[in-house]
Amino acid sequence: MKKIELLAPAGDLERLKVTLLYGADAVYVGGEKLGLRANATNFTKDELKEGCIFAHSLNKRVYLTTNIVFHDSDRINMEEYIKMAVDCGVDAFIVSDLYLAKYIIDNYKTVEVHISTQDSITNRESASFYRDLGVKRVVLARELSKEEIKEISSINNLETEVFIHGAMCTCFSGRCALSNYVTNRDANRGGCAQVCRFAFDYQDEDKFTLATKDLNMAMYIKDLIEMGVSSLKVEGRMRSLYYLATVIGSYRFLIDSIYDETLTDEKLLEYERRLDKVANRDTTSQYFNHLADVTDQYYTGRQEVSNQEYLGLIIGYDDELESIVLKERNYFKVGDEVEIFTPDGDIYPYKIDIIYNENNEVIEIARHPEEILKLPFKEKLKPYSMIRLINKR
Amino acid sequence: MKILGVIRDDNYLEYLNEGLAGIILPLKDYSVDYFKYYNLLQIEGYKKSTDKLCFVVINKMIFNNELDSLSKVLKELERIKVDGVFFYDLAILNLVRKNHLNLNLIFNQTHMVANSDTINLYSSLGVKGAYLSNEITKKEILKIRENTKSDLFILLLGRAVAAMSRRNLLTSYFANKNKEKKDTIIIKEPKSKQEFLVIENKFGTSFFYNKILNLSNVYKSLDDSGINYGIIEQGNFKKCEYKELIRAFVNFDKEKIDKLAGHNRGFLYRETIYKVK
Repeated sequence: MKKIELLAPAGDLERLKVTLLYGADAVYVGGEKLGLRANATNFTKDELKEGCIFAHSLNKRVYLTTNIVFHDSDRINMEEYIKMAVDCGVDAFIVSDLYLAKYIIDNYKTVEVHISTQDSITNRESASFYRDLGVKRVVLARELSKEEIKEISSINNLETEVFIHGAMCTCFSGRCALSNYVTNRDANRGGCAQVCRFAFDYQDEDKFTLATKDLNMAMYIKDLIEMGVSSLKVEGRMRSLYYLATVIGSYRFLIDSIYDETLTDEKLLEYERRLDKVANRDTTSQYFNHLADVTDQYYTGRQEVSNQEYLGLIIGYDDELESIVLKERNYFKVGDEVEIFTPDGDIYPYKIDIIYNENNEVIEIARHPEEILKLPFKEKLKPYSMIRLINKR
Repeated sequence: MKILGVIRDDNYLEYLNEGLAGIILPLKDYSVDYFKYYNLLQIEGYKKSTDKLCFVVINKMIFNNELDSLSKVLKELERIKVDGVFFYDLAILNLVRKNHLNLNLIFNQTHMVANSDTINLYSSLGVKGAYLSNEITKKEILKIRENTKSDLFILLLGRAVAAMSRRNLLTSYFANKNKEKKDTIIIKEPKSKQEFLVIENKFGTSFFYNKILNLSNVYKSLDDSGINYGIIEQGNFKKCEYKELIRAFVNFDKEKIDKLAGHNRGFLYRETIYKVK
């Protein structure tokens, strides 16, 4: 049986490399046109090409999001754009519009078409419709229960992709234009202002909120594998490197441990905690076990909390000092207990005894984000290894 | 342009004499985002009582456990010989094609009916018409008319749907506040001052923009362009007001329409942006 795919978001080339190194089997990226994150740092042609070469060198895949709801003006140069992406080496297009799906299927036999969650596929008949059109995969609506996902995943010759982690839309994807009405930014063409996270006035001093908690399916990965799902998708093309490394690394560990039958309850709990720590909102399994209810929503205006456990990105090694070189992200000091973790899944507990600055002077406190610092460490580590805080002194 | 009504009153037949070409009946248990729903018996009753047009709406997201009954419903609608079915979920298109049902389908994916090529593709799959999105400009509407042969439907007057969720957002909100639940509320976004009517039913929660959309100012040009059907919804209008509105569209009287319905022209001249500079 084919191993389930772990699909990661990549908002730029660096994120693409990090998520693939941390264990994603494939990434989805946005290009300069037709994607639903018009305001993200999307990939240029050269970056897309470089990303595909990098992914393919690891035997991994790149999917390009082209899932806006088209207006006639968006059609201009669409054919050239698709050809450019195919020439760059993308493995699949994530599409919402039926015309575009058919266009790609009819004109390019070497790439796959995946139907976006924007189309909110909630049943086996609509999924079958897409399969018969020549679609390889459907991204299921996030509103489905375990049984519903299982039934659709049993359709022959059609792959299913399921969201497992990250932010949720309050409304059915594609069925929301709140952003258009409140901000004039087009929700379905990449301009979504996330109006569902706003607080609305309702009577006197009450505030009405409709924001949802985030999704976390760590506990149900085994179920999803057994149900025949083909791909597990993580949300968040605009998330930080640290978030992506932690989330992708954690799910990589869980998936591999399930396949080689080594996952213990303790380890599952440990990784769930790790995922919870990196999240900036509360998480639930949303619709998987029951219809989303009062426990899956927020009732206050502000839901995000900032996360300051990411201390630094390791960018090199100083042979003379026998120290790892890092770029600081958050405040830390001598005496703090940290973990150094690598894309290979290695985790090194570490107590900070000495900090060197860029001029090799000993300092007590690292307080300037982006500052280059060094920490004594005997081993050279892979690029994109990171340091996270475990306990403050 | 033929005028179709969406009627909230029980005695819906009496509006036909005001000049409506027909009415649109949202099917009970299979449609959302409307204020009144009709079962198959009522639809058949309507069909038997008049030779005016009879369109049915099936626009909810369909789940696996509803497919068998949906299949039967579609066969019933074929038997009743309704003039068309507005559909959102592609399960309907698949079932109609698979079962070779003689039903006219109208592509009705709320915010997603926004370009000519997709409408033409649906047409090639046997879909007869398209209900245009409310979030496109006048220029885009006319361009679509120019580029497509499908029957085109447009909301001339009514409350535009802004969003639909499977979540019971009002139940959750009032439960959290420990207050008595309401099924309908009005909320306002404080910065933009935009209001939404929020309605919850067993299928989830619908958000309507709380200003009546009124396209009277472009009615003539839409009519001249060849848009086939204009839809006017009763919404909260009283019986006499709604009858006046029907007459005012049929005998086109812009002043009267605007007096009753206001001047919200929606996105006709307001192109939405999606790349923030």
